[in-house]
Amino acid sequence: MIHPRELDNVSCLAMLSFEERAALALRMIEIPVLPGQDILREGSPSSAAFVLLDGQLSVRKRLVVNEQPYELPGILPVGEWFGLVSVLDGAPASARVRAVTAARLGAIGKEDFEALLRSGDPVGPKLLRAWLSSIADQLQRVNESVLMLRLFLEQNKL
Amino acid sequence: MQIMDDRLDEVARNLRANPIFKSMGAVEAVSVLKAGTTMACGEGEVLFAEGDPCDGFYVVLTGRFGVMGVRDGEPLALAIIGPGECIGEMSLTRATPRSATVRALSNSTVWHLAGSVFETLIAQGDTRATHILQGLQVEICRRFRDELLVGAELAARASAVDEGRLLVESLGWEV
Repeated sequence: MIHPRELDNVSCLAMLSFEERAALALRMIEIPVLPGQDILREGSPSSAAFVLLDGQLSVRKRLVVNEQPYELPGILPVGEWFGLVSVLDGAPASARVRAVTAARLGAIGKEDFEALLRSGDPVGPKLLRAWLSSIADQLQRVNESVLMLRLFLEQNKL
Repeated sequence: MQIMDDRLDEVARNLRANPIFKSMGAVEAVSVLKAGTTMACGEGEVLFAEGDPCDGFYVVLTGRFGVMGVRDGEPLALAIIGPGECIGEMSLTRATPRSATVRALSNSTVWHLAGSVFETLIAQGDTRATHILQGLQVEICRRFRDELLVGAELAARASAVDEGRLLVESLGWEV
């Protein structure tokens, strides 16, 4: 059972009132994970969106260009959602997410989320907006990296 | 100015390729269009300037707009936005100020959904807000996956030299 106060630290949910976070918490399930356990595997679609409530997770995005694998490693902070893009567009996850320590997750299944959107409860569009904002923030960071790489390649005529 | 009722179907048909409208049926598209207004912009007029607070998002109905930048000290349109394309949707999603100045390159008209209207639709759980967000969802997820691949391709090219490999690593990428 997830207490609504645990969603206070989920930054992109700041636009939800306490009552709305409580309604969302009721629709979520709590998942305990063990160190070393994979929560998402790259190449597999995700059936749920997850938020880290406690513990530490590693994230590794893997992309293959001209048969050369490139990886974006990182540590997921508490309060961060993951699995969003895959749950929204239905395509396979591009990242592997693995527990570094014992951890607790909150999860909302794809079907439960879609039912929430259809229900007319404002929590549905508010949650979708929060998720899109989180993806747009990540996109902005990738855009900035791409700009720096383009500039470097242009300056060095590569 | 509101779109005249007898033109709503025609405008909705013209927006079929727009990422926000293409997943909507005709009835939903007309219903969403009714929540916004149309505006005329004369050639050279600034739609919004870099740093302005977000006032909603726009869809070009006629004419052309330029996303302005500066090259060699001169203002330059870095990207051209034409009929059926969106302007300012990322700023609306992230609730952040405008990241660039957008100027009309010809006499143009746009459909505008005010940020305050969008927020009200969301707060009320209005199905139109869900339709708009689901359109944005498709577009943002596509852009995110595409841009990751572009990043990986550029990282691969930059890694051909030592300095580039260091830059790639400093950006958080790993071979």
